[in-house]
Amino acid sequence: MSGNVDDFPCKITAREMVGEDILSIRVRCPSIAESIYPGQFVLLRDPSWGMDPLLMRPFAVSAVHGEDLELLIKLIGRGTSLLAERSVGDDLVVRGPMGRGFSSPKSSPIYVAGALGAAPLLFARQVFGAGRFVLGVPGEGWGPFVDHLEARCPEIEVFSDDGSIGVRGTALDGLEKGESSPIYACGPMGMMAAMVKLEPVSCQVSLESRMACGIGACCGCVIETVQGKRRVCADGPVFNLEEVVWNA
Amino acid sequence: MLDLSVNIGSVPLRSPVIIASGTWGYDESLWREDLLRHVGAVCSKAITESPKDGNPGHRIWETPCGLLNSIGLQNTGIDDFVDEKVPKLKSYGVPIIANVSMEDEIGLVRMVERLVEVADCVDAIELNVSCPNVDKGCMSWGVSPVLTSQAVSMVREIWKGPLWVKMTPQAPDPEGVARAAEDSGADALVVANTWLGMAIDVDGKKAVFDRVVAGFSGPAVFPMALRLVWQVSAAVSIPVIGCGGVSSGRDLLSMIMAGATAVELGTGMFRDIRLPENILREVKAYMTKEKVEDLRSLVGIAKR
Ligand SMILES: Cc1cc2nc3c(=O)[nH]c(=O)nc-3n(C[C@H](O)[C@H](O)[C@H](O)COP(=O)(O)OP(=O)(O)OC[C@H]3O[C@@H](n4cnc5c(N)ncnc54)[C@H](O)[C@@H]3O)c2cc1C
Ligand SMILES: Cc1cc2nc3c(=O)[nH]c(=O)nc-3n(C[C@H](O)[C@H](O)[C@H](O)COP(=O)(O)O)c2cc1C
Ligand code: FES
Repeated sequence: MSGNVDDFPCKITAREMVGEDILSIRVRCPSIAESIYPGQFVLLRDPSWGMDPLLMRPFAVSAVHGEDLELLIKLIGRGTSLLAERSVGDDLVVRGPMGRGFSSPKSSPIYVAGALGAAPLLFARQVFGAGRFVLGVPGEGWGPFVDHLEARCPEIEVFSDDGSIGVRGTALDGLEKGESSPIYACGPMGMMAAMVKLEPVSCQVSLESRMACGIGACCGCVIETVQGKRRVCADGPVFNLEEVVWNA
Repeated sequence: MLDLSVNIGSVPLRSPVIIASGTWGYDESLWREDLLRHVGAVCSKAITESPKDGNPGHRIWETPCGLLNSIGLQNTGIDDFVDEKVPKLKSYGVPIIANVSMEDEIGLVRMVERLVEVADCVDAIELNVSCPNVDKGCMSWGVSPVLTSQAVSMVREIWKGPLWVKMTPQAPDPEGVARAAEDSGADALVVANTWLGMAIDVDGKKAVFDRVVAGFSGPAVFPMALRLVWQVSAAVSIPVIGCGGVSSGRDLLSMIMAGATAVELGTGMFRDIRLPENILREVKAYMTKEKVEDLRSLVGIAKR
């Protein structure tokens, strides 16, 4: 299965910058809001883009509020910068829910986020319930983002590379070796690769890859796994830590 | 009553819109009746003799109005296609075109022999001598009229059913390749596959793709594909299928007026999964306005 391939015209219902280059946005999309599961993602396009940008952009859902999806978007290139120029009431096209999400935990989970990797984990926390929530950010400039997360998730434990926010270190410094609670992780590839050394008993990771179709058709988004190449959009984005070949 | 059905040689299609190879998957969720109702046929992903893992590294890079890809023919091989995919695909009721990727003669012969076993379920073979994303074979056959002729003749000897040849825009003499294909028994030409391009990762100061070059597609290539259709359709008398950047009803009409009988949609499907339906709506509105009842009457009209 590669998720629901229907496109829905949606409106932006709220927007806020949470830092210089991080956008928090809500879009009204009842049918996705009622069916999306933590770890699944949506594809998004702005009808004003025409043919440029050409492709839809993939984003995790960070929360569902009634009929609204909430997304946290880091402005890194053309598409995301154009999205940041949109206002409340503007139209977007949203496709989803896409991909396979996290499987639900049997006991209280630990959420481990690297920067924007917090997005799918916030939604997991909303559905699966609170547990330890460990966040790592680069540091300087990330204050408003951390404040935004703390307002939703008061138990959050924050680490920063430069020590300017929370404790100096990375999110992994918040974990014990051989951790037995189920871990849900999302962040940069390097962070997730390093989790292998911690040998957690159970860990699901949510991955990113450049996508063209986002529906499992093009094989553009594959990653290397112990079962061979698998599509992040349709076979993931959530994989078990041990099935991913990290040094590929 | 507007008639949008077309015939590609002996293959009747309810719609002139075909989904191009490599841009539609095998997952059941894609084979919904409402998504495929407006589609004339679906081309399979490229099939190779043995299963292929495809290329490592980046596979996708967006450009303004275009897309570079370096998938590298990832597929599960001819045996899986014939044994597992074909029976399932047939049950969906949409004509299936088997895109056979040519690497070498022995592999080609074996693939076609296997397809003969399921000839009643495969509506045509699309001989792919045009993929630019692999080191072995493929495009190196399609750039040469002599090698194209050799490849087509080999298939023709074994496969009695409809045979399309998917050309490469990299051929220095496209008309020569097209005539060679026609003379060797091709029933139709698909014009064309992706264009050779590349991208540099300026921050990383290196080429984006491990193989450096990649296949370029999407709206950005449309005028070049249109020109090729115009040229090639004048050189042969078999039907031409336009492929490259088609993303709207006007693009389809342009291809038809330049001499194509149908079009294939690739990259456009990634952006708009209902593109076939949306294109046909636009085409029907045009036909009504222009009082054209049969789309076939527009084929090549711009040349007259
Ligand atoms: C499953 C999934 C969930 C994601 N969730 C989030 C999220 O919650 N918040 C967030 O800020 N970002 C998320 N991303 C990354 C986000 O999709 C990219 O940052 C975004 O597409 C970049 O678009 P752009 O036009 O600004 O960048 P450009 O560099 O202009 O993009 C050009 C092309 O590259 C693709 N691309 C670039 N970087 C990435 C990337 N890291 N992953 C996938 N495609 C990329 C774009 O889709 C586009 O096709 C997610 C990616 C995936 C695959
Ligand atoms: C991601 C991707 C994968 C492709 N895979 C194949 C393939 O397996 N076989 C093939 O003949 N062409 C393949 N193509 C080429 C397309 O079928 C089509 O010829 C080309 O993209 C031009 O059309 P477009 O501009 O509408 O995409 C692929 C194209 C893309 C973008
Ligand atoms: S993006 Fe096309 S298969 Fe995943």
